[in-house]
Amino acid sequence: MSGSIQVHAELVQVEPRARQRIVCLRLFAPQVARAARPGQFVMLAPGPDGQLDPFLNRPFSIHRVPDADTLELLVAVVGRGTEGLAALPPGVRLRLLGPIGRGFDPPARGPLLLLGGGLGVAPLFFLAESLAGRPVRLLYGAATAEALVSTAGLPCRVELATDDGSAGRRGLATELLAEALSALPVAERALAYLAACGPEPMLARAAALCREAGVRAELSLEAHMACGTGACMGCARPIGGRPQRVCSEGPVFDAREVYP
Amino acid sequence: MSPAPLRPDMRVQIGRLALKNPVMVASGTFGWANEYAGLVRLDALGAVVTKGVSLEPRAGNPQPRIAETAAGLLNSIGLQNPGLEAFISQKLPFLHGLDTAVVVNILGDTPEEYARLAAALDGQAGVDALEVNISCPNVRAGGIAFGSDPGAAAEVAAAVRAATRLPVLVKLSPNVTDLVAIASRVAATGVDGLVLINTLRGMAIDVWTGRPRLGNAIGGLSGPAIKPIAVRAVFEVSRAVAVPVVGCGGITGWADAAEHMRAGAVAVQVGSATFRNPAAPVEVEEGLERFLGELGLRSCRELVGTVEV
Repeated sequence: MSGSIQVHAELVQVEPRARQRIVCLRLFAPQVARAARPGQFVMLAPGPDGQLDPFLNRPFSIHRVPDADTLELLVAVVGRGTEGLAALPPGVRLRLLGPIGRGFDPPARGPLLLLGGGLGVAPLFFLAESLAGRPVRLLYGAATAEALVSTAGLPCRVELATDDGSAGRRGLATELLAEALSALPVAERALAYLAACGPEPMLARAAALCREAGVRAELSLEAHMACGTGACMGCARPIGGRPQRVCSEGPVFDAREVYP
Repeated sequence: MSPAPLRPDMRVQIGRLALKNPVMVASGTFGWANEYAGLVRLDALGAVVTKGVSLEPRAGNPQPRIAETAAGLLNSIGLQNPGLEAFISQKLPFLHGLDTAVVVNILGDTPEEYARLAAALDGQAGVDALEVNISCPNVRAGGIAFGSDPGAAAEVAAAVRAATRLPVLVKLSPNVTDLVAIASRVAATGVDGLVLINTLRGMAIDVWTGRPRLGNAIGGLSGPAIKPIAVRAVFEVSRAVAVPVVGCGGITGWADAAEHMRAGAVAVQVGSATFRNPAAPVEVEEGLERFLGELGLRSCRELVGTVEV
């Protein structure tokens, strides 16, 4: 009952996006691109039809929709599937299912904070671009400068943190968040909003900080999943007191549901 | 309803269960079918087999529940389902509206629980048959505990058979020493068909962390990796028992289905392939029909058991 469709998307380009092995896959997929909303994701086949190994499609959040026909996915080259994907030549057609899931739901007004950890920054680009003209701050943390994806051209203020201090603040992105929240005038906190995506410890800390500050927060979760349609139950976990599927009920959840 | 000229007759009979074609989806890979509405021509399927239904709701296993392996995957979902009552009120109405057979997969902790499920589903509009799950590798009681002992397997099958007028299929586990012995005992209870095979118990370990890649440590292996085991099981069992055998395991394309049928399966189930391509079951059916036409066969039944050994 999802609004997803399955298409064969043409791989237009694979280009590096960080000094470390992070690449951007640009895919021609008009029907999916037009329907996509920030925070949604796609399931992408790891190779052409008929290739049985690697077997499963990969979930990728939608990184950007640069034009009405095109999707960009941010891929860390970390295993068999992603190595294969990054090595594919342009012109290859890959099965793609999307857009999938519940995306971000930012308020119509008020200050907007985006918190990205590592590759979790991927969907926040799409979100930031959809919020152009609004007061948006992206707080972005990574292990090192080498692992940072370029934020040049994003229509928002960007603050960086790295574990080793090689770019931006030395420390965690959640430290930037703590400061940003305490700098918010108390009157604005009820209107403010945080969208976060990244490692679970970061999400847990962000949820706690927002709860203390009285700021609404939405978290985009990751999970191992097989189908992306809600059928396999592979991604289901207890959220809000009942099993919920990250692919169908999420991937974006209210922080108070995830960390009650 | 005579078949069009030159098009093979795809109808099959599995005991008392009549299907419009031999391609079903496998339990646990197709949810409650509504997840695939709009993505798949559901009416083109021979049958929808639901996720397993228990008397009470089950929350399932801890994360991670999925781990990809070479040409396949391990899963340990843990039979998460909303329970019988919610199935009937929330899931069955959609299934009832489909122009395809609906097979409800049932599971319990005791033969009595299976019988209660079978009795409760008898007479429910929209239910065409039951598939008895005595082969899930991911739960302790029920599931595989019944499927690995000939006496216990037959006891559950007989209990279900006695509790319902619906056609009954029994899905067997390959995780046994003597599958033919179990299949023979189950077949003797008068069930309509056997489904072979459920997943194989397996394990994968992350060598960096030293931890299992599944939250439940051990799970069930499926996908192309298990096809030769499934084909062998279908071959051996279909030659040993008189009841129809449904082949399941590693089917991603029409040729895999044809292979199962040549081994002795009257029908097939497409499982994990649907995860990577929701249209896989429909494409299998279409390809199979073309293949039968090319062979000049008038009916898909003519392919069954034609392997020459």
